[in-house]
Amino acid sequence: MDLDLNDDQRALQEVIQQIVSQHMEVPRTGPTLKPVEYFYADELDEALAAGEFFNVALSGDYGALEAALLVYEVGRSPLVLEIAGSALIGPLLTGQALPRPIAVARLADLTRAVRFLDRAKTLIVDLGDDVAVLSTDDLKVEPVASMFAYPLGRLAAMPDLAGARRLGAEAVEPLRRLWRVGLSLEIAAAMQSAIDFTTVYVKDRRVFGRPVGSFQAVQHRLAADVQKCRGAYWLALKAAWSGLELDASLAALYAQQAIASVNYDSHQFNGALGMTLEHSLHFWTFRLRLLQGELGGPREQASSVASLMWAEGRA
Amino acid sequence: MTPENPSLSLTLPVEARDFADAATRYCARNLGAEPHDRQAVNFSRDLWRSMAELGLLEIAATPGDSAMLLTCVGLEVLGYHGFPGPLAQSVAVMGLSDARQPAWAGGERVPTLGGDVLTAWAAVADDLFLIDGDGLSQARLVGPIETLGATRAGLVERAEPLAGEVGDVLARYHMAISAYGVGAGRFFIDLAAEHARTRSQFGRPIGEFQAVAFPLAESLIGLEAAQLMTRAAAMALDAGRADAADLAGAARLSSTRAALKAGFAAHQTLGAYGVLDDGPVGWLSRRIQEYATLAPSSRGLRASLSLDVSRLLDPALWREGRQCN
Amino acid sequence: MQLGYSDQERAFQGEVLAFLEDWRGLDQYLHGEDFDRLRAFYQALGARNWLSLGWPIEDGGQGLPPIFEFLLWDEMAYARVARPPLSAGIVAKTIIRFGTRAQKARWLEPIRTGQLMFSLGYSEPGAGSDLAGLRTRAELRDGKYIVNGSKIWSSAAQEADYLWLLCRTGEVNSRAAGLSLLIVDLKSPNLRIRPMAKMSGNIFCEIFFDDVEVPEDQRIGPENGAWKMMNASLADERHVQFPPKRVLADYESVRDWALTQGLDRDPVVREKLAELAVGVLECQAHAFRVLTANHDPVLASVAAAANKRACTDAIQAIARAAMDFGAPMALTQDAPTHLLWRQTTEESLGGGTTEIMTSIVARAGLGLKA
Repeated sequence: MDLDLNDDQRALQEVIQQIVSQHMEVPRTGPTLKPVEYFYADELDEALAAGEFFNVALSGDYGALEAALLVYEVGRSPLVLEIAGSALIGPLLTGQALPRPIAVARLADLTRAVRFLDRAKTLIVDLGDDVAVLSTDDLKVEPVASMFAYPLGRLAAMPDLAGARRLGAEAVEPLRRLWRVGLSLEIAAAMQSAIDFTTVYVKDRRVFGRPVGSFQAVQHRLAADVQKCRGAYWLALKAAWSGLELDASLAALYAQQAIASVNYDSHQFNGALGMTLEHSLHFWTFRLRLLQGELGGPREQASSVASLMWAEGRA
Repeated sequence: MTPENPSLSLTLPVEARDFADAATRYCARNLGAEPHDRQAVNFSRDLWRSMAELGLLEIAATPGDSAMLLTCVGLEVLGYHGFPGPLAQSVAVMGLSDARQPAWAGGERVPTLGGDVLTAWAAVADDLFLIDGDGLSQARLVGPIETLGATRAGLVERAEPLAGEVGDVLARYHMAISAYGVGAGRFFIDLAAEHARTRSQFGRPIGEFQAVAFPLAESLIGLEAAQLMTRAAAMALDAGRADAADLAGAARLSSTRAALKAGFAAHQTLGAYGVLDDGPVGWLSRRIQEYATLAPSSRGLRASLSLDVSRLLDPALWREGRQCN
Repeated sequence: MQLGYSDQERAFQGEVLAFLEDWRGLDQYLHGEDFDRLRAFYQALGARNWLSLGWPIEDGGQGLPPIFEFLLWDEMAYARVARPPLSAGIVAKTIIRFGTRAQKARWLEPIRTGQLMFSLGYSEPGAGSDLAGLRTRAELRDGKYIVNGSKIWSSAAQEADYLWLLCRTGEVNSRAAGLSLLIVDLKSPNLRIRPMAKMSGNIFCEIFFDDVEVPEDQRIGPENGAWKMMNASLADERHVQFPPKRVLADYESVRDWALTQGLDRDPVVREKLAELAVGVLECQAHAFRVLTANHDPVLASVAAAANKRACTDAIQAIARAAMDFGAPMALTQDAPTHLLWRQTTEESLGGGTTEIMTSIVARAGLGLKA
């Protein structure tokens, strides 16, 4: 058993971290009363595209694990970028570099707001018994306003699913698996960033003559939160590596369940500062709120785990 | 303008305060003043009869202005001292019109009640009752079984069905279990807080550490609410209100959650001492856990509780609430 | 034991319910932006003498017990109209207790009639929970205080007329023994207000003082004597700090929304809703304790802290549950649920953090100095 990245993977991770680190700053808009929903990482997008990073899963010996490292690192930024569809789901599902950004939805979601749909060039749809791949050139999409720190779009009319490209029933399981892996990584990344942001604050901020972080009520909960961040990260990497549906469902379940306390604690320990829209914290916590509900939320991941582990005929 | 008639008051009626005092004295006399005395006291017929002399069961059997409120307050005290035996179960079946009632009230016969094949105190009881999906029935003992809470439990089977209203029996049961849990929870907190104030680690009392103090404070917050809800449920039963069962069910959920939390916090605060098999916490926390689990259980309550229950304490709904001072 | 309202209280409740019909939903989630209408509302309350229900009769009030104020603001919270104004609460009650005859004559009447809006100037960038460490200074020179420093998290200061300012008049390290209370005109020269957006969507402010002049007769109570006064005024307002019907309103919104969506068919959701309903009842129980604990200051402070903690936990649990079992429908702008989450997040901070509340219960309720 080896939980370490190999030299190539570590080198790849370092390069990605190096690039992402230059795109961690939210633009200074000055005091604003009009909340900015999100800042899209256009420059990071260009930098990653120039380095062919979006196709990392398709190159040489690389695969899902390397794509997972990319999804995680990009998710650490307060700037938002569509990455799981582009780097993980699209390439590994189709073996191709699809036009991106890529939005992913289930059939029932098509009447609702879908993450990244207003910017997407490709829409992948889980039809239940098949997977459809659509170009958004033929779709009418309207943007949806929300406070949830992601671009959202909604279809103005149902697309022509009958005439769309189909990947066949055998693509359904990989789509759901990869989607769950990507979701877990995005959650792990945003949680870790929120907790890092908070940790810096509680070490610095003093109350009753000592740092906020020296109170056990703060310290112990942050420790538990870090445990959740790390747990979500490693479960997601394991799922990317193993390619097992059960691992992906477990990772997504764990990550979605961890959000409640991480979100609460990071806001609570940043005090009123965390309530303002002038700091970065809400870009992660609002995002987490949306991710918590994706794919039916923890309840559905739990059902998936249960049926994969214990349903009749399963091992 | 000054109010001419009474406003909100949480002051117990004099007879309830007197009864609580009497129950406290009874417990000190018969169970011992210290936790390690009390935990060694097992159920016995003699003990049960002496408790009956206190009048708790008689009061529970006699409809009156404040019968359930007095019962509730008495059960809080007995719960605090961890009195062993089918207290809540007896209070529940006292609501039945049954020829054996005087014998139950006097402690001559011991009844118990369950909601499933496993019933607490069935191995020591004379008269067994069952409430399940088919309603109320008498039950027969199949055999004794040891449980976590050491409640002298038994496996039982359904016998003759009984006519009559299940709702009232169930409401009494929930109220009574809730009151016992409120008392037990308060015992856990008092015990743990005393330890936290006196035990020093790293040069200061452990109660100064937030990780120790906060769970105890949170348990206290929960128990304060649960106690009031339970007493309100008792008053609703006394007043014959139609929503008494809902309020009793909600009180039980609140009490169970708070008492379990308090028990856990006490185990943790007392450290290794708190997890000894014959330590000061486990004997009673196990019983509370068993009561939470055995049917009619708190889990079942969550599935059936009215979702309109949230208004039941609104003072505007207590129009004819009597003054009991 | 008596859990119902008296006849007089019930009659008053009837009047309140009739009155608020015109204002229902004014401030839908208790964070409105229509300040003109809010002023009109407070003036309408003032016209009925309802801003001074608990003030002594000799100070222009109704001399009624706290339960009347509770009843009024409990119903207002349920109908999502507004929160109690700072002016008629902390400000007026402090003036009544500690103000001079001239100060009472000047301030109480316009407050009683709802003419004046106040904002609270307690917190600073370096002093939130630990107010005794605040640094904004006021120095008395020629009958005027010269104020320097800054305040933060002052709600609605951009709309208010006056600031209820807690500042240091004693030595730098005088902690709680060197603080005074001033009434500061928010239109004073050299006073700058910077509004900031909160994640709830509404505004709080940072306020900067650069040699701001405040007449000496706008100091309420003795110089350096603010700490005792603040504690007294905190006690005065305990019964309206967190009305339980606010929790009830949130619960009913989420429950009704979940039922509309058919989510209660899921047993996990059904059980969670029952648990939340029990939480609402617990808040009501804590409110009873606050309302009946006035005779004992220790009991009252524990009851108030427990109430704040319980209500905060309950509304946050309600908001979180909505998102847990409602997703993704819970997240669209037309669902009530996403707003609840954004707006309840700050409740565990404002008005005393959850940690401070728990600490009060541990100290005063259990004798544990945590």
